[in-house]
Amino acid sequence: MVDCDGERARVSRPMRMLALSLPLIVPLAAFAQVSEQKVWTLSGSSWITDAPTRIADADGLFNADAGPPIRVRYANSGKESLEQLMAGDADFALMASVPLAMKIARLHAEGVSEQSWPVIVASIGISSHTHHVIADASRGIEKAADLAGHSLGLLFDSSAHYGWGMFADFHRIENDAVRLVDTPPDELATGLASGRFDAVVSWTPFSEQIQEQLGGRARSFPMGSLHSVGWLLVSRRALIERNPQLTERVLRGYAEAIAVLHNDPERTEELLGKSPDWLGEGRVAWKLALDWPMLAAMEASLTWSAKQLSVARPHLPPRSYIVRDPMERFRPRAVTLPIWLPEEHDSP
Amino acid sequence: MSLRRLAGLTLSATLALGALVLAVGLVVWQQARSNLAEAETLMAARDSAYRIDVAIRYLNHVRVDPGILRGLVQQSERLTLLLEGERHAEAETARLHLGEIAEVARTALAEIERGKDVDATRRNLAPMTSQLRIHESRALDALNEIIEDRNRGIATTLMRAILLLILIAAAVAAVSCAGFWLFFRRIRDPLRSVSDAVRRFGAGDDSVRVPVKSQDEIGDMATLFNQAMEQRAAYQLQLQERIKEQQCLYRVLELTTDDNRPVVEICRETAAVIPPHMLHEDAAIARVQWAGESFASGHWDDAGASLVSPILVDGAEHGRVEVAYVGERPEQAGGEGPFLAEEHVMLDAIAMHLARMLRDRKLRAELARSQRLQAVGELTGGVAHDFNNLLTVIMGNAELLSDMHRESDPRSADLAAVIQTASSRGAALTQRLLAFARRQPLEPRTTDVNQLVEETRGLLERTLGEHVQLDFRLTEGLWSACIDPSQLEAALLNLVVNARDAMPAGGGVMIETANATFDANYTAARPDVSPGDYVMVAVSDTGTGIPPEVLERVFEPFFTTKEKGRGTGLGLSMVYGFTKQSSGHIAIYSEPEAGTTIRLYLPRAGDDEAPQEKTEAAAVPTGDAHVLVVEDDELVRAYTRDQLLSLGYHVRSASHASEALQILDNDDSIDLLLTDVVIPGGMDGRDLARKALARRPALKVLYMSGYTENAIVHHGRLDPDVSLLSKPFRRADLADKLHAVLAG
Repeated sequence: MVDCDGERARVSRPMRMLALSLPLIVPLAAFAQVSEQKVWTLSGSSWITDAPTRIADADGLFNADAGPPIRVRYANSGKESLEQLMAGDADFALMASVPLAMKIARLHAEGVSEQSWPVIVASIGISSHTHHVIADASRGIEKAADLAGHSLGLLFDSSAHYGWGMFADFHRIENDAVRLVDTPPDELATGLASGRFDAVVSWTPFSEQIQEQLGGRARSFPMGSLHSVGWLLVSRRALIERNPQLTERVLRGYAEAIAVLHNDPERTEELLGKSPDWLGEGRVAWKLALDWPMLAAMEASLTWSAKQLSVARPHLPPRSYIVRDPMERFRPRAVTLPIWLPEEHDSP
Repeated sequence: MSLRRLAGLTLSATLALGALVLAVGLVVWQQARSNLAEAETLMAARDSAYRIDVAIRYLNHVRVDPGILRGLVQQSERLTLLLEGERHAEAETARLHLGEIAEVARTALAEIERGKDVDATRRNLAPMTSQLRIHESRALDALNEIIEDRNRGIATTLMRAILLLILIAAAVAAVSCAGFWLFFRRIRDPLRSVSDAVRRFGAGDDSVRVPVKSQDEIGDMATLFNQAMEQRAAYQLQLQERIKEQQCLYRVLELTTDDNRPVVEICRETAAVIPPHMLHEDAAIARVQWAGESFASGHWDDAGASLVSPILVDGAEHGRVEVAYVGERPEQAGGEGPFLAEEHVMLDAIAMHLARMLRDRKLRAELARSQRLQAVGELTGGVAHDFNNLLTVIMGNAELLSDMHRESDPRSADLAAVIQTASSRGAALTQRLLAFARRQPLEPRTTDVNQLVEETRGLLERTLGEHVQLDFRLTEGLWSACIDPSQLEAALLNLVVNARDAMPAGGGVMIETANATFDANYTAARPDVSPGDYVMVAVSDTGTGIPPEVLERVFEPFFTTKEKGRGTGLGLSMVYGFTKQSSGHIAIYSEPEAGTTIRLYLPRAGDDEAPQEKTEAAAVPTGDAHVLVVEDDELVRAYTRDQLLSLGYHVRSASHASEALQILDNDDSIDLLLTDVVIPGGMDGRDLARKALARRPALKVLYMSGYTENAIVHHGRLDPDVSLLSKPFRRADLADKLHAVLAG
């Protein structure tokens, strides 16, 4: 990966040679510069809560200012985006708190330095009604309790996984009463259709496809009162610290996109290709913030992750997974974390 | 643009901006009200949010209570309603999370109602309470942001309003300053110009003017200043002209009051004085015409337009003063041609000064003549008085000698008669002298002058002779005159004789009578004439006339133009003395070779005084009464005694008053006291008579006097209670007086 400001090819030649080969070198240098121009990558999702990413991408809001372009690629889940981020294939990634907490818990457990941890730049939105448990009634599942004894397809270490835990607890379904099958979200429909599992936990838009696929056999169990999914903009600490202007460009792109979502339904529909009613059904609260819900969700996700990994609950200072400076600079009012929150790790 | 209009525009702009301030203020006030209402709504929302917060805290930290959950639902819905109209972007977020809170609360309620194991149910609800916290947090954040933005919006609105008000106030100030600056600039320079002009004017620069640079009030002021300066210059020019005129008049006054200068010299000097004081002095010439002569300052042949003022003396033009310009000169507004109106007034004043000078000189000449006649009269009167005494003695003794020697020595008697005749002629002469001297005894009475003239017609016709035509023009209704008729007859005779002598080749004499009234205006220029009614008697002839240089002396005694031996020079003197003594007035007008007219103005008699008939003279009476003669002159005393004795009277005589009183005391037979008025010894005849009458009240008194100006005779008239015998007297006169006194 090249540094944010772009590294320039340095050609060290004796001045005499330089003078002699100047007509040839200049075009080559120009070509080399063009070919090495940095393109930043932001990995988004097709989830309804990630609508700001799609609007900003479609409206060019990330690239409104001069600078290296920001390219958006779309993954099937936040977990996938996180993997891209961690693999260096993306510079910014959008995800829920669960995959991020799972990754941090794992890195922490593995003793990886915090400097290498992914960090939260901002919260983009929060949703409580986009995740559903969808079952095939033909498999004898009419109510939530009927899930016991059946198999359930979902993406492990995702918000769907976390939500199922909340759902199961609430409906008093024992963990071992349901067999969970780790399935990418785009394969849930086929898995459900093939009988690999009897129900799925998915989110919009995959959940819509599954419901359409099942038709009258679809039984949907909402998780809204049990599970809120915060959608987080995540990046690497080093990148954020070295590229404040880039980070601000991204934040501004999200802020403008959310403004379009809030204030310009027609533009939203034009850019997303979805009706405002579709957005309304998701009841997503888009807001660029670093706030208590994000922190609470993250802490809850870390607790859940530690439990899933069977490791001790890590007591991490928020700074270990949150960078406040970009949001403090860009929109300080939106940073509502407790001001006395310790910056340094302070083990209990 | 006028300052008034500029002020109006500035004021209008300021008022408009002020109205704008007011309007903006109203808008701001309305906005503040609206913001306050919104703030109250948000405060209510915050209150609800606080209740929600407290409820969720309770649910999280105390226990899950159905009542709290229901209240939470209710508050969430209420708060959602409060935010229903809110347009803030975060309002939707807040409503969304409030909806989530309500839904979670309802789900929890449903779960509680469904659950049998309360503790287990509450444990299951733990994730829900966590969800409540999440949504509450987001809702509160959104609400806080709304409130914060609203507060910021209010503050921004207020700041903008304040900024707008400040800007408008600044605009008002700018407009006011601009207006002030415009005023100041419009006023400063013109006022400075006016100030400089006034300062220069104060330093004596009369030519200063203020440039008129604008058509506003300042321009008007500058125009008025310039007009005032022009007017002042015009007034100054006029004043200089008036001063010149006054200087001219003063110079003329000096000339005309200089009695040592001859009139001709004054006229010549006056003509020289006038031109330098005219408006166009370099082209002015002047001349004075008087008594047929012309005195000019330049060549009058070159004169153009001229201005003339006549020299009027007693209404008659005696000459003229004239001024003219050589060449053309511009017309003067309000004047006469090229002359100023004031110059005409000045010329009239010069003519008036000259007229006054001529009149004064004439009056002074008349006064001098009158005074000379007065002096001559006094001298003549004194001489005549003494001469009368001598003539009385001579005439009386000659009469006695004639009587004594008529039989015995006829030759001596004839000589005595000659002496008597000469004495009579001498007495007549002295009477004329006394008449001229206004000291003849007059016996004025109310007289019908027309009748008197008619009665003298025959005498006058005989006097004039056949070659002189005598005409009468007697006015009917002629007033009566208070005069001595015998003296008027004598005066007429004298005048006719003079007329006759002035017409050696014959001619005509006209005698006229008329009523005349002299008012105060007429007599003002004639100090010897009193205003009143007069009876005019005029005698005109067609004779040779009297030259002017002679005319002033014709009333002097012994002055005559007749050949030697034909005139005594006392005729006109007697007429003059009679008229003046009668309180009348005499005027003479004569033109050489044309004739002479002499007018006598005799005082009009009172209305109740009827004309008195003339009494016939009686024969010389005799008597035997006892008469006491008191006379200091021994000759006169002796003459008088002899005359009395010849008339049969008994006579005793005394030389002074004391002796007379002694005789009176010793002789009771004295019937009549005949005393001279002037006697020595400290007691005159009047005093003597008074004392004598005190002793003898029945005593008769007869005065003798050749001199009428004494205590007995006042102004030539006899006192009504005294009898006077004028010296010299004849024997018959003495007899008549004695008889009359003794009879009375």
